[in-house]
Amino acid sequence: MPAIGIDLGTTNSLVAYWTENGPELIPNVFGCNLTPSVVSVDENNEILVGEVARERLITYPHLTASAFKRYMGTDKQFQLGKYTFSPEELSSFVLKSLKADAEAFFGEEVHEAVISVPAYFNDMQRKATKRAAELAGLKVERLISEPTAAAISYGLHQVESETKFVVFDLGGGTFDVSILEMFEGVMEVRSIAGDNFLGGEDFTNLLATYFVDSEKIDKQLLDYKALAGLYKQAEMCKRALCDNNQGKMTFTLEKQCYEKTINRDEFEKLANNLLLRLRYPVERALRDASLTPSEIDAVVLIGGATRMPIIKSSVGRMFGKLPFSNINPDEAVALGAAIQVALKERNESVNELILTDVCPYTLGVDVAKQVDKDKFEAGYFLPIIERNTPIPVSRVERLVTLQDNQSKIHIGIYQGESRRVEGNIKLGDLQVNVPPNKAGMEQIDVRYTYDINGILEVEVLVLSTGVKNRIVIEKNEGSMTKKEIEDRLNALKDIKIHPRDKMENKLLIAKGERLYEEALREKREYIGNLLQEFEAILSRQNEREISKAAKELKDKLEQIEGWFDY
Amino acid sequence: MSYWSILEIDPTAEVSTIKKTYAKKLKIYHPEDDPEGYQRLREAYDYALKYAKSKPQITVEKREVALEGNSIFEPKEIICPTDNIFEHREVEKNLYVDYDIDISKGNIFEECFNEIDRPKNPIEGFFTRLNQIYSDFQERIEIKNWEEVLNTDLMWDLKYMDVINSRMIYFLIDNSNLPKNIWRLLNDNFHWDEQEEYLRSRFPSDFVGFLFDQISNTMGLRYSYLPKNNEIDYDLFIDYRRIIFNALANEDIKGVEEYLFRTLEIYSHDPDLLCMKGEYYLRIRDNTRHEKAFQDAIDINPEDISTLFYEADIYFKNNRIDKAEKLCKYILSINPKDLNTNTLLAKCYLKSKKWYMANEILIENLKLSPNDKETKQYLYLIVKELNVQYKKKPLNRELRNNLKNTYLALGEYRKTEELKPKLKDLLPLLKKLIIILIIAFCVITLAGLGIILIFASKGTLIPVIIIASSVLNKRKKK
Repeated sequence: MPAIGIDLGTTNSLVAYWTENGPELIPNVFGCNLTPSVVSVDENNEILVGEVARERLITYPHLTASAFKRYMGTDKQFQLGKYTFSPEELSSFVLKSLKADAEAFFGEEVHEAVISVPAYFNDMQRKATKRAAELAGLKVERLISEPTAAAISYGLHQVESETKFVVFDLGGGTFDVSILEMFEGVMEVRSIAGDNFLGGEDFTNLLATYFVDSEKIDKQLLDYKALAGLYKQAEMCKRALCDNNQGKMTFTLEKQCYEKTINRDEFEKLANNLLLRLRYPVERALRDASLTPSEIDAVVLIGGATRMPIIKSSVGRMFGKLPFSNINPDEAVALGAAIQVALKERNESVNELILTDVCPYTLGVDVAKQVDKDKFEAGYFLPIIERNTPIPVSRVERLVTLQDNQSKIHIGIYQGESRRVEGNIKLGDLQVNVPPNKAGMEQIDVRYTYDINGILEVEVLVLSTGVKNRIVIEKNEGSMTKKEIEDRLNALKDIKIHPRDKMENKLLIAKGERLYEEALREKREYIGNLLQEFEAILSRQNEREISKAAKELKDKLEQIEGWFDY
Repeated sequence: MSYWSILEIDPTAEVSTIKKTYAKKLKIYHPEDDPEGYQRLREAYDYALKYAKSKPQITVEKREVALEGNSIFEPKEIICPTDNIFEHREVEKNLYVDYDIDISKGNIFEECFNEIDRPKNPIEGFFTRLNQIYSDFQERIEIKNWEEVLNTDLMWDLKYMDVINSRMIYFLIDNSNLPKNIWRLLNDNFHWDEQEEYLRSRFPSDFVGFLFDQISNTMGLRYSYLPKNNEIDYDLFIDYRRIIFNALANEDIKGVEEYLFRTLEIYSHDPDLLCMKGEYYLRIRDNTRHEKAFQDAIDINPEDISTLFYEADIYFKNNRIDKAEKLCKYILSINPKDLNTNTLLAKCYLKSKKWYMANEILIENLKLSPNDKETKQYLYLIVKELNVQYKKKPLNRELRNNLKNTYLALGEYRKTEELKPKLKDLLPLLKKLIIILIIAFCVITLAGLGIILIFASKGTLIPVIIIASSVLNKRKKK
C-alpha cells in the first residue's frame, strides 16, 4: 500500500510518490499535475474541487472558497451555499481529491501521506493540517516543512558534498526563508524565518489597487463578480510582466471601459514596501544561523511567485549572486514530500539522507518579574525553547510560587519573540494545584517537548507532591475533542463529492459559464448557445454523442479563451 | 559522560572531523527513532563546533577582514583573518567588510592597512549622504530623500546589514530631530521594533526608549509647520520643544516655564507648541489663556484635525473628560473614521464607565483596522469587566449581546457558545421562585387556619368541621 507525498498549497496542491528512479508526480483527472486549492458547491449540493471550482470563483463566488490555507488554525467559517465549512474542512476536500487521484492512479487504496506545511506554521496551524488529513481519511506520517521538502529535492541533484544554501519560498500566500546545510548525508536546517501574510497574491492585490486608485474607481462599490474580474486582470498583468517589459489591465464597469499599462520599473517602485518585507526575514535567518551572505553557496527559489523578475533581482541584490531557479518552483515541494515518504520507509533506492529540522518560534511561559523589593510585574515572557533550536527537543524550566499560601499556579503557554506575553500568541494554558506554603517555597518544573512534527507537549511536575500534569493542549481553542472529530466526520460523510468520472463535462460547463460572464454582447450569445446545445446533448445521455460534443466544445472554448489573451 | 565521548573522538579543532563524526552518529541516534539520544548527540555536536571555531583554524577557506573606517564612534579592534567565526554579538563592535584578498601576494596585514585608505568605502559614502541630508533642514524633512538613500544597493546587500544597523543607531543618537514619518520609514528598513532586547543591551536605554516612542503609532511633534525660509535655528527650537513636552509629561511646571516663552520667541506659529502653551495654562488653571492658546493653535490651520486631536488628548490626560469627549465628537463629525480619535473617545467612555458605548466604538475600530493593538487591548479590558458583571447577572440580555459582539469582533467564536444561558444560571431564579411559592402556600394555609379558628370561636367550628369532613368523604368516594 503506497504512501503519498502532498504539497497542500495556498493556490495549488500536488501529489507525488516515490519510484526507483526518483519521485514522480501523480496527475489529476484532467491529466494535470497541479490541482487548484479551490472548493465549490454545485447546484446538487455536491462538492467540487480544483479546476472546476476555480472556474466558479467568478461565476458562483458565494458558493466557492479559495486561499483558505491562510486561515488554517483559526475559527473562521466559510459560507458556501447551505454549508458552512472551517478551513480544515475545506483543506480536507482538497486532500480527499488528491487521495482519489492517487487511488485511481495506483488502482489501490491509499491511507498514508506526508503533507507539507510552511516552515513558519505555528502549532495551531500544524494541528489544523493534521486534522484536515484525518477528515480526508489520511493518516499523516509526517508533516514536512515546505522549504525542507524543496531542499531535499534540490539536494539529491547536488554534486558537491558540503553546501550551505538558502531556500527562498514565495508562494501564493506565505513567505518562508530557510537556511540549510548539507554534509555527509545530513540535511540540517540551521534557521528559518518568514512572513505568514506575504505572497504572490499581495503583489496581485497591489496591481488591482493601483488600477482602481489611478482610474478613480471606488473599490467598495464593486460587486463580487466585478472584483473577481478585476483581480483576474491584475493577475494576468503580473504574469505579463514576467515575460515582457509591460503589462496591461482593462476593466469594464457599467458600460465604461478602463485601461491601464504598467512597466517593470514602475512595478518595482510600486512594490517597494512588499519587497522590503522580503528582506527582513532573510536578515534574521542569517543572524540566527550565524552566517554571512558570503558563506551561502546557493539561493534556491521555490513558489510560483518567484517567477517575477522583481523577486529575482531583489534576491540578487541581497546576496550578490543570482538565485538558482532550475527546479520547477511549483513541483519541488511535492517531489520533496515524496522523497520524505521513501526516507521514512528507509527505502533502499534512496541515498540515506538524515533530516534535522528546527523549531520556528520561541516557546515559553508567562512569568512575573521582580521589579522592586516587594513589587512584581506580571506579563513577562520566559523562553523555554528558543527559536531555531534543533528538534526534537525537550527543555525544562523551574518556576516558583509568587504569593504566600498560593494554592494554584496558572501556566500560560505562549509562542513568539516578544518579551511581553501580550505580544505573543497564546497556545494554551494549564492549571496545577500546589500545597499552600510561603511564597517562593513551592516549585514546579515545566517541561516543553517539541516533537519532530513540530507539535508541542507540556508537562508540569509539582516538586513537593510529585504530581505530574500533562497538558491538554488538545482541549485548547481550535482543537477538537474525539467526539467533535467523530461528529464532524459523520457530518462530512453525508456530503457528496461530485463523481470523478463526470468531472470533464463539469469543467467544460463551468469554463463556458465563466467565459460567458467575462464576454459581452455577441460573444456572450455565442457562448450561451454553445452551452445550451451541450447541455441538451448531456440530457440525452448518449455516451458517444456526448464525448464527441465534449471534444468539440473544448476546442471551441479554448479558441474563445484565446480571444481574451493580451 | 562528556560531549567528546558521545562523539567518540578526542577534542579537536577540526570542524570537518566533527561534522563527519556527527553524521555517522546520526544514523545511530536517528531523530525520528531516538529523540532523546538525538538531543544528547546534538548538544555534543553543537558544543564541539563552538569549541572548534573558537580556536585558530589551520585552513582558511573564506576570509573576513575587519577594517577601521572613519568612525564617528569608538575605535574598533582589527580581527585577525584566521578568526572565521561570525559571532553575531561581536559584529556590532566591529566593521566587517568582505574583500577577496589574495594571500599569495604577501603579508595579509599589509593588505588590511592598505584597505583602510581606500576612499570609496561604500558604507562611508552612505553615511556621508545621510549627513548631507540631515544638515539641510528642508532636505531632512523630505521623506523622498530618505527613501532614495535607503533603496540603494548598499542597503540591499546583506553582508553590510549588521554594520549599517549599529552605525545607524549611533548616527541617530547624534542626529535625532526627525519627523515621525521618517522614523517609521527607518523602522520599516531596520525593524528595530523586533530587536528591543538586543538594542537595550547595547545602546543607552534612554535613547532606546526615545527610539521606540518615535516609531510607535502615537502622534509625534510635527515638523510640517516650521517655517520654510531657514530663518530660525530649527534644531534649537525642536530641542526646546521636546524639553517642554517632557516637562509637561513629568508635571514639571517650573521646567515648562523656563523654556516655554523663550521657545515661543524663536517661533510662535507652531500649533504643537501653542497646544503645549495651552496645556501649561490649563495646568495652572488660567482658563482664558488656555482657551486662547488652543484657539491660536487651531487658527493656524483650521482644517488640521491633528491639532484638534492633540488638544482632545491634552484634555484627556488632564482629566477633563467631558471636554475631551466633546472635542472628539467634533473631530468625528468631520472625519468619522479616524482611528486615533475613535480610540480616544472610547477611552473617555471607559473612564466614565460607559462600557457599552466604548464597546461599540472599539468594535467599529477593529472593522477598519483589524490589527490595531490598542483597540484590542481595550476590548479585552471591556471583556474582563463585562464578564464580571455577567457572572452576577447571567440573564441580562443586553449584557450578553454586548459580550457576544465583542467576542465576535475579537475572533473568539467559541467563547460566544459559552455565553448561552445555562440551566445552572436559571437555578438561583428557580430557587427564588420555589421559596416564594412555599411561603405563599404557608401563608394561605395559615390564613385558612386562622379563618377556621375565628369561626370556631364563634361556635361555627363544628359545622365547618362537618362540612370539611363531608367534603373529604366525598373526595374519598371519588
